[in-house]
This record gives sequence, C-alpha cells and structure tokens, in this order.
Amino acid sequence: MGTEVNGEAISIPPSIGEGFVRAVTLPNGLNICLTDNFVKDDMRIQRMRIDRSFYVLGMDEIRIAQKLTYITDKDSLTNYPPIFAGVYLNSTLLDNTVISSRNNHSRSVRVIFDTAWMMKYLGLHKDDEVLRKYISLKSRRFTLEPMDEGYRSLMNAIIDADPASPLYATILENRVMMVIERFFSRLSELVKKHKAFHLNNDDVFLLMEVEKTMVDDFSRTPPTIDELSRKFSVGSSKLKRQFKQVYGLPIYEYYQKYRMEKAKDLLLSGEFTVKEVGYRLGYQNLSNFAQAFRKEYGILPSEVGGKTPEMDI
Amino acid sequence: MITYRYTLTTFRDWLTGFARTLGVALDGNTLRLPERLGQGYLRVVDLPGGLEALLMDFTLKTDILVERDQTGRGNEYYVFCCDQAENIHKMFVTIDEDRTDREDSTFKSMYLMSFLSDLSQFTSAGTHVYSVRVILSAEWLGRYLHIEKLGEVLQRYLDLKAQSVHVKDLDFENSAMLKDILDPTTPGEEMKESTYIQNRIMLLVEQFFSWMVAQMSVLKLHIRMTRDEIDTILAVEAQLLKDLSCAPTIAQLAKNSALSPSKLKKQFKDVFGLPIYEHYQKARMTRARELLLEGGRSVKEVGMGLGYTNLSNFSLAFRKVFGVLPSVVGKASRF
Repeated sequence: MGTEVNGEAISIPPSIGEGFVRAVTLPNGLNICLTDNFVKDDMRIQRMRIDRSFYVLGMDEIRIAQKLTYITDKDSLTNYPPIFAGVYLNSTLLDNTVISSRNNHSRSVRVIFDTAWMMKYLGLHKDDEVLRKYISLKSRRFTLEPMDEGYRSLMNAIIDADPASPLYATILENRVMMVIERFFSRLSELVKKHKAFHLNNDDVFLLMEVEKTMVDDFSRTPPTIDELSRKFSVGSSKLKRQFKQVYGLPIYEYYQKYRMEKAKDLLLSGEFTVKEVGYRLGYQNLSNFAQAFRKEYGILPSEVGGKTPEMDI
Repeated sequence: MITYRYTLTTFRDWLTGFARTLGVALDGNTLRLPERLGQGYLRVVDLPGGLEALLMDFTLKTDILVERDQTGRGNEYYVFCCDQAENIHKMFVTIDEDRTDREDSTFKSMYLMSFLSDLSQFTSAGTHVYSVRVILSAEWLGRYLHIEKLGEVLQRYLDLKAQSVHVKDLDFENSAMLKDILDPTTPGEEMKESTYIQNRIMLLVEQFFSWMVAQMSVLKLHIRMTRDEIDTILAVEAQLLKDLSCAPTIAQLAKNSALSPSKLKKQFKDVFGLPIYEHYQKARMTRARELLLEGGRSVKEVGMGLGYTNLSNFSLAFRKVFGVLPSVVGKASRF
C-alpha cells in the first residue's frame, strides 16, 4: 500500500482507497485482524501454505462492486451475491488466494489460533470428530456458514469499537470469544445431528441476499414470501425450506427474533423511550409491540427501562 | 446464626474454610448444602484465562454473617461481584465503619470491592442468593483495561467506596446472564463449560467497567460523601432534568430531598461540578443541540419545546454553551 504502520493499524492512502487494516493481540493471546476499507484498484492477496498448522476463523461482509474470487488450494469460488456475508474456517496448511475487483468494500474480522489453543478453550481433542470432519480440511472443502444477524452484530461491534476506549482490548476479546463459541457450538451440533449443508453455493448465496433483505431495515414492512420468491426467482417452498435449514428459523420468526433483539438493545441503551423504539421498529400500534416483545423475552418493554419520556416535542 | 470469618487468599481456600465452618465436606470444587442447612451450592471454577471464579446459588435456613479481615493478602486485588438476592428479610454490608442496609426484598447489582477494606455482610435466613465473583489482580487489570486511562477512574470509584458501596443495578439482560452462568446451558458437548462461563463473566465485567467509566466521569474527584448522600443528589438531578421546559425551584428540590437549600446547593456542586441551574441549563442546551442535529424541527420549534417564549434568549443561551447560534447547527444538519 506504500504506507506505514501507525501503532497497530494502517490507513489506506487516499490515492488508493479509504479505510483501515488493524492487527491486535488480545490479552488472552489471540491474534486478530480487522478491516473496514475499500480499494480503488483490483487486488490479489495470496497466502502461501506453511507446514505448521494454524486455523483462521474469518467473518467477512463484502459489498462487491464487480467481482470476488476466492481460491483455496484447487477449489475456487466466484459468482458471489452483491453482498457476501459469511463465516468460515481455513487452515494455513493450504494456499489461499483472494482476488478482489476494484471498489469492493470489505469489512472483516480474522482470528488465528492453533490446536493447542482450541484444546485449552474449547476442550477439543486432536482426534475429535468435529476436528476430523470439519476442521482438518484435508477434504479441501470450504466450511462456509452464512453470516446471520447474530454474527453480524458481533462483527460490527468489533470493527466499530473505539480504539481510544480504556476497555478496547476487553471489548474485542469478549466479542471474538462469542464468535468462536458460536461457530464451534454450531459445528458440533451439526456433527451430532449428522447434518451438513447439502446446498450448493449458488443456493447459499441467494439465501444471503434474502436474509439481508429481511433484516436490512426493521422500520419497513418486510417483503412477503411471495414477493421474495418473485424477486429472487425461486419457488416459495424451496425458499422457506432452505432458509430454515441455513439460518435455523423460518423466515418470519428469524426476522421477528432479530427485530426484538434490536428493540432490546435500543431500550437497554437508555437513549430511547418505549414509544420511540416501537416506532423505529415499524410498529404503528404500541400494544402489538409490547406483546411481541413479551413473547420473546417474557417481560414488557416498559419493564426493561428505556428512557423516561421527557416532553412532547 | 452462622459466622464465618476469613482472610481472602483464593476462593478455593475461602470455600474450604466455609465448608469447615458449616461442617460439610467439599465435593471436589463444590460445596453442596445438605438439607438440614438449606439448599443449593457454592462452587469454584478455574477459568481458562487464568481467573478463578466463585459461583453461588443457595438458600440457607439460618442467618449468616460473613466477615473479611483485610490483612490477609498483601498485594493489590479487587473482587468483582455480580449479585442477585431474593426474598430478603434483612441484609446489610459494612465496609470499614460504614454500614449500608438493603431496604428492598430483592437486591440486584454489580460492584467492585477493594482489598483495602474490612468487610462484613449479614444475610437473613431464607434469602436466595445468586452470585458470581472473580478476583481481579492488579496485573489482570493492567492487561485487560487500559490502566493509564482507567487508573484515575478506578481511584475515583474506590474513593467513593472507601465510605460506601457504589453499585450498578442489573438490567434484565445482566440478570439473565447471571442465571445462565449459574446454570449453564452449554450448547454443544465440544464447548468447554468453563469457557462458556468465562465468556459470560467477562461480558458482565466489561459492562460494569463501561458503566463505571461513564459514571465516574460525571462525578468530581475526591468527594467525601456517603452513599446515601450521593444517591440523594443523584435523585435531585433526575428530578431537575425531568422536564427541560420547566425547571423546579431550589425550594422545591430542597423540600423533596429533605435537605436545606444551602446544603443541597453545596453537595450538588460537589457531585456535578456545576451549580444547579448551570447544570440544568447545560443539559437543556445539550438536548437542544441533539434535537437540531436530528433535523426535522426548526430552531423555533426546538426553543419553544424547551420552554423558551423569547427566541433570542434561546439563541443567546445556546451560544453561551456552544459558541455558535442554534441556526448554524440546524443548517449544518441539513447538508
């Protein structure tokens, strides 16, 4: 990039693009890399294989202006949706190349760790079924999980944390640990149920678009299943079945779950009244909001707190 | 009544001593209360990050007094506590000479205890205690919290605490997390339970310190007031800022807080660093600025909403605080 590292980060020079790349060592010893940038030029980043085995857990949300290609060993993925949002694991035993066309905007978090670390924190063993099936990566397949709203909010909190905060390292570590916990819990659940994604990548990419459409703006009425099915040219029963398979919940339950989570966060921030939160989440009728909230959390929004109404202005 | 006197070294030692006091054998790292004493458990967990946590979920059939003698451990440490107690008949905490009684039947809060004080806690029979505690060493604080930035804040907090316990209330999410730690529903067998517990304890610790940073930046350094006095002043502030279009009089505030006007004025300034009406005016103008930046309202609407009948008074008051006229802020937000 023709620039220098300033502390833990580089800023992309204005002639090349915008944003940053930051590398941080967390207090528990994990090493992470955060990016939030776009580059005006085509870019090829090639990672050469090494003999020592480390795992890289990555979460990427990339707005693709033209094209993105991802190559691991001899496997290559392209034809991503306009916004790619995925969580994946790969190994340093394999070559890895990303070719990104100009003006792609990428937000990402990468965490690197080794088997010893996994054994200490996750209780995984070398000959573990989870490791063998999903992590040894000898099969050269991608372990790709679409990013759901739960991952997304963790990722955003990590990337957008303020490095000047006295709690910066703690904020990063806590959320990185939650990401790791989530990823491995899901893997082991899949192993237990002997389930794997039988979906091809095109189907997964299409679901990423559907998911993004649903949670993009909670103040709007979400599209109906019919509308989604027309918009993305996919049969409604296939859409419903696959969405549930990948995101774990039926489309509307998923939407409602994260809508209520958003409500909870807004209320707990103490900056909004119950009324304001209801309106922001597209409720015309506040008692509907209260009922929906209680259904999810067992208490009424007014009991959570929120800001007390000050004045009518 | 059971009385347990200890000096803190590790939670493991603490639990061993407590088991001996009760005449109960430890089961590994767990003390299970036999039927004759009550129900529930106390357990020590070694967290993968090197911390030791004490988890408690129990009800005792007798009153209990737990007393800590501060002479135990020479080096600097703090105990982070996240407690929820239900069905309280009587409970009080004494730190050095300062005693605080819990008035309500439930108590839900997070707080930090310094190694410097003598400490005792009385809990009445039948109280259901949910509690998670971790010992944070100075070394740990240095690693996890940017101590150059936080040192002063921590000192300020402990200054307050020298005579009182300053606590953060648990919101419903904290409360749910506390119960989850005590009865963990680990999602997969592959996830170590201690990692699951650690992740959640760390989130509570983070929330507590975030709160502390925000809270202490409001309070001025080195105030010597008791917790009750500070709480009274915080309540006065809440009342003062309740309606930014119409301020209560000092006489009203003094009457509601049962303080004399002169004592009220002095203590308010000690806590917030500004006289009452200047503090009010600052909050009012900050609100004005927020509303202007939000857009959608004219300067006139904002001024009137904040109780100004004369707009030029509003403009001048605004300029006094922010150095620019409100019309400038309103315009900037439109582009």
